[in-house]
Amino acid sequence: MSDPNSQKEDSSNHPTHPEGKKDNSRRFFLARLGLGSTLLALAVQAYAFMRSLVPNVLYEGPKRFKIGLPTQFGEGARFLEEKRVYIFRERNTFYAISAVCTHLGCTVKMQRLNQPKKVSFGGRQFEEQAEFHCRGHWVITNWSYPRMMGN
Amino acid sequence: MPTKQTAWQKIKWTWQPSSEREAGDSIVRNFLLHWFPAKITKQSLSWSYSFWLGTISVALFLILTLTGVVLMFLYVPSVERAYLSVKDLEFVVSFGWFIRGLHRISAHLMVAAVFLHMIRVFLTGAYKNGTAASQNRPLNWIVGVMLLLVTLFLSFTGYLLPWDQLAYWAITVGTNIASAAPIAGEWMRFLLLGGSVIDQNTLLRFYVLHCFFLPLIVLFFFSYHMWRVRKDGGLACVDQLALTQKEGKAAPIKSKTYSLLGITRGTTVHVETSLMDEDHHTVQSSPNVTRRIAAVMIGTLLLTSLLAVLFRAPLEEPATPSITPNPAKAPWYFLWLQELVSDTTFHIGSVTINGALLGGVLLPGILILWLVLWPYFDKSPVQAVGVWLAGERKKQNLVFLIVILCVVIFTIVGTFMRGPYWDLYWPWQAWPEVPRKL
Repeated sequence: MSDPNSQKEDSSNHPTHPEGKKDNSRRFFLARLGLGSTLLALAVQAYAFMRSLVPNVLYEGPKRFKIGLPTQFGEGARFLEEKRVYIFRERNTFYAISAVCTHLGCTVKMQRLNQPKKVSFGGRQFEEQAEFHCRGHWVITNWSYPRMMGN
Repeated sequence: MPTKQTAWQKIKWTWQPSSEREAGDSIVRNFLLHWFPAKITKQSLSWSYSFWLGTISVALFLILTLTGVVLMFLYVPSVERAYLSVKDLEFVVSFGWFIRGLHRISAHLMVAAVFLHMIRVFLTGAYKNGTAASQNRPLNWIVGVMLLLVTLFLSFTGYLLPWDQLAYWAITVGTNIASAAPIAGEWMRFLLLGGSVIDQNTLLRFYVLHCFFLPLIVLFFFSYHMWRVRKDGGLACVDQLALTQKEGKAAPIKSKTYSLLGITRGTTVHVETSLMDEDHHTVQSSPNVTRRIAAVMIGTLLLTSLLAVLFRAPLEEPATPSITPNPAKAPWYFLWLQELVSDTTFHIGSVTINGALLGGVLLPGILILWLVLWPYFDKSPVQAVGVWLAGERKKQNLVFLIVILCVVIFTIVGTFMRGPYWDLYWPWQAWPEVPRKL
């Protein structure tokens, strides 16, 4: 064990002492090497800690999933609650539209209109038969049910 | 101080003072450094006096806090998900196995470090007051014993969290030993478990105790512990230094007169000091103490990291109340208690003398009481303060060491020599195959 009485830990002998001369001695080099290695080791540990907080595996449901057979869907709309998606069928055409509101993520509710509305979108005319209402924020969106008119 | 400083110099000058004046100034001007005295005796810095066990304990606590905070983001304290979240930590989370291993190794080492620190303080008589006024080292010793108990409880509460067979049955054994306490035992167990069985309530209570309440209590006691060390004049070896100094008259010196509003300059009533050659015995805290603390902390982190890589944290099968491991053991730091319990359980005819009460509650209770009160029964002279294995304290050191040896022996027997059905086996002896389910 070191004898404290024989040690002189005077800061002026420190190799990086600002009032002393910065030298290229072995001691200075090794001191810098030791400091650098320690800082590198601490940086690697800090990275490991931070990286561990970024998930590698998510236990959320899959983004692609099967909803069933075509025969299970009649004409019109059907809401799949656990998937938060509306399925529309028009004869042999199927549409799947997310019920997650693009505003702040609420689940929207489809409201059929008593009288269809005529809307213009992208230079074309559409007939709006239903709207999607966000009950949380009173946002009405009709984006998600484009229904081309006529021709 | 140089008149023009770069930003880097402004940051680092307190950690690397370039003159005596800067070194003294840095203690006052740096928020972290004001914790320390401006000057410290060389004896206090000695590796062989204290082994810096207190600082090692603090370093381990810091590692535990940092790794613990990260683990809190990843662990789920629910009986259905706890085990799976720990499994995720081991196999899915990047570096999760390392963080968990570091946390576990640091926990075990902290129990050992605090225990060794207590032994060192006893053997150096550092719980005794020296010659300085208004010292109260016996009180600080009691605070230290409280810190030891809280450390053990912290480790115990953390032991349950993986919710595997090792965790579940260790806590079953530990809480059942504690329930043998007279009058309040069953009620304490009920309160701790949040019920009669170890289930969701228990897991949540242990989690909150482990992550919030107990660390808070440690911080409180530790702050007071360090404040008391400063108030008592530093480590006990400093008192030895004061005793060996010769008293002598000194010329009146310029000193400070403290008034109600502040500090004024000028000469005042001359005060004799017993520490005549302070310059010979003391060094500046910045950078001497700061460097050693940094070295101890980095060394502790290095050792725990290496051990975490070499010895992976175990994860047994998920906790199953219907299957008891054979043998079922308490955590290693309570195995001496479990060994005492088994050794103090007697059958006399049809009567069973309860070992849990005798060996699990009364004996350790007496030991803790003895520990707490011992400084007040120690009548050894002040010359024995801060001296390793002082001759004046030979008998008490011997008794203490015998007790410690017994604790260590019981721990070793419980860890390495108890096999199925709690039978004795040599450490190299193979255990017999036992049925999993009775």
